[in-house]
Amino acid sequence: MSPVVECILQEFIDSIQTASSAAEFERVATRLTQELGFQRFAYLRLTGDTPMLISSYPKSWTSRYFQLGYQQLDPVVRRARVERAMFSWGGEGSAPVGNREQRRFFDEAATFGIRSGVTVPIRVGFGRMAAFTLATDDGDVRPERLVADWKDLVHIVGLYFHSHVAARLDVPSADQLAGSELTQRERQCLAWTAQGKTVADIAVLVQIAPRTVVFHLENARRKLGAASIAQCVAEALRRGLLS
Amino acid sequence: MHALGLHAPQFGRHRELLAAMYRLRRRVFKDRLDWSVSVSGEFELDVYDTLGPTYLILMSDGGEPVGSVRLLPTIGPTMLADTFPVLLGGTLAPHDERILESSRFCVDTRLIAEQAPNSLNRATLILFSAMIEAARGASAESIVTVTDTRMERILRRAGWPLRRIAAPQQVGSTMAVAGFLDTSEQALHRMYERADISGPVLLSPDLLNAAA
Repeated sequence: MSPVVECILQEFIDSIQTASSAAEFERVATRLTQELGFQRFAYLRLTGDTPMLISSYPKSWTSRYFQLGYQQLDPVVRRARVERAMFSWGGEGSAPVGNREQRRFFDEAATFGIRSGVTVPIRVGFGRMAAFTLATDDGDVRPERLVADWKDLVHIVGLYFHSHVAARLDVPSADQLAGSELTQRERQCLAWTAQGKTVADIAVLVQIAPRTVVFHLENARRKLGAASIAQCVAEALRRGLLS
Repeated sequence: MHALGLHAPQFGRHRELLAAMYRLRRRVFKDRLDWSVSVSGEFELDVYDTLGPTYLILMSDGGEPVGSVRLLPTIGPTMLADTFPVLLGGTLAPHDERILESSRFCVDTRLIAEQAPNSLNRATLILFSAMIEAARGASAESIVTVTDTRMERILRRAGWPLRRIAAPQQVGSTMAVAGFLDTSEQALHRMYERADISGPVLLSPDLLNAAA
């Protein structure tokens, strides 16, 4: 194992631990991408109604991509849905893939400097997926980049990126199992807060210790991914959790 | 058979070991138990792997990873507080630098058939010993864990009973339960005796590399 790759991975692991915004995640992945000899990266997740993208692709390309609903057409995304292991795409040597529309899509991507790359498919559970891609305008992904040793590395990097994004940027309950929904107590404490009651009031109303009220409110806040109790109440109302 | 303790600042240096452990976890938690976990290729990871965990990795005499467990401090987010608060029975989740949380315990028993005298898998007992050693090394007074009633029975038979926090609850298809595990010196020696070993089983992967 090369010491350089060791350092790249450790530096990535160290810096992603402290990333807390999409911009910081983008910076961390951009550095790794370049150190591995690629030019751009894209992390795309298709779970809820709105796709989530963190990438260093040109903004002109990504906004066009979503405007035209290219995530339905994109052969890389389609392949990532069914494939289990990392795969490479594009490049001079490979035969043209897909229908005419899809080939036009690749031609268009190439004009934005995205010609070939490797993609790590990620299964998120409940049939949802994400994909982590390293891309280049090189025209071809050189095979020495894909030796077995690197494959593990890119897989682990992709999964780390995905897990850290899910941990920091998501509503925490989204990926969790049952039990992460608001409990009855949490809903109760939030509902009273929405009515303007203080922690001390709620303690009396619900007949639990003030400390326990704080505990339930904090848990609810975390579950809804809110920065404050006020935001948490607003979010719970918006989702109709308190009715 | 021994265990390696791998801390987050060492991950880059031991990428192959790390990859082998995530691969083992995928085989156990996705392929065999079919949990709803995030997987990619041969690997499995979840949000708690992002919190700078320590992994204890059980190595066969042939040098293959055959089991693992993840340890996290309870001062950050924990599975019990953040994913399974339903198992707390209304009590506060432990949040203390002297308590570690263990999760993702697995031993690939298909790889090792060696039984201890009391018919428990000896590998399981060695990984339990490593957990107690690691906790004591981190000055932790106990380990809290979310597990199921099947594992609870194994712990009891190993002489390391789970001190329940609340009654078990149905979570998905399993009866889940949370509780504390004793990390006292007595508990450690009892485990050594059951595993039929005389002393420490937990090593640093860095020391092994230096020796190789």
